[in-house]
Amino acid sequence: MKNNKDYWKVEVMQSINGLQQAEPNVVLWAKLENRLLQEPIHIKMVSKSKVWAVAASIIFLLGINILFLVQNNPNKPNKNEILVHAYQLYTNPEIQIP
Amino acid sequence: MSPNELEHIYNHYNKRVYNTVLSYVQNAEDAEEITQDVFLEVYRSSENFKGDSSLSTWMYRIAINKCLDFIKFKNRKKRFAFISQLFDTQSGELIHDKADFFHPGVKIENKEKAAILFKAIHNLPQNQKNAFILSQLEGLSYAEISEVMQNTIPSVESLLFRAKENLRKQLGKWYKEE
Repeated sequence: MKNNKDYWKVEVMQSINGLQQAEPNVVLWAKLENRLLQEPIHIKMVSKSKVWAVAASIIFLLGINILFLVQNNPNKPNKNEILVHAYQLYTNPEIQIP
Repeated sequence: MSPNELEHIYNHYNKRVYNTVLSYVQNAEDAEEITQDVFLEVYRSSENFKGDSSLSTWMYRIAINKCLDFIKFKNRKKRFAFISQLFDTQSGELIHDKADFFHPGVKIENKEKAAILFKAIHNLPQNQKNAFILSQLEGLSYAEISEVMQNTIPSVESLLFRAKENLRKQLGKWYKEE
């Protein structure tokens, strides 16, 4: 009796051997898509402080760039050049100052 | 995540998710509903996925949680039903007992015995059920199961051992001499 019982238990435990995966319904994706359409659209809001931080960074970078450009303007004579020209003007008034 | 990205994930994982859910809830209609819930949850929570586990591990966790929520909901419904309507007044037996579940992937010659086994699986404690389903029905390795269940591998081995012992015990009670 015990052998029959044990044998039966083994058979039951092994009944799922070779189990194949069940196929979901082919319309499952269509049903899911329908539910997706009903999902609220999430618009990601950015905080005001982040916007101000980005704007301030842009203004700062622009400012530095403008300052750099103005200071390194090749058309603007530097102090030494001004002195040289002034001396040359003093010694030779016919020299054209650019 | 865009719907197109979700469709790509769905095409890759739908069978796995459906079969895991089916093993828990043991009903095809409920499994379809919960499978949709799982993918919707993936869609809603995609930003929360930090990539510290694999996508499949994350999805298994969502699927198991959805199944547990569903089973708790079903049990709560039963508890609030009129008790007298559930039991036969003469024999005291539970009338609305769980129907036999015939898994579509089981070989025909094993269908009856597999139905008995699924009934026994249904009665397992939660952690043992998780370990057994993920190992014996889903074919995951111990390492993968430990990641899903967030347990150590020895814990998973112990849970699986106890699950099998528990199942054999239940089957022993149900054995009928012919």
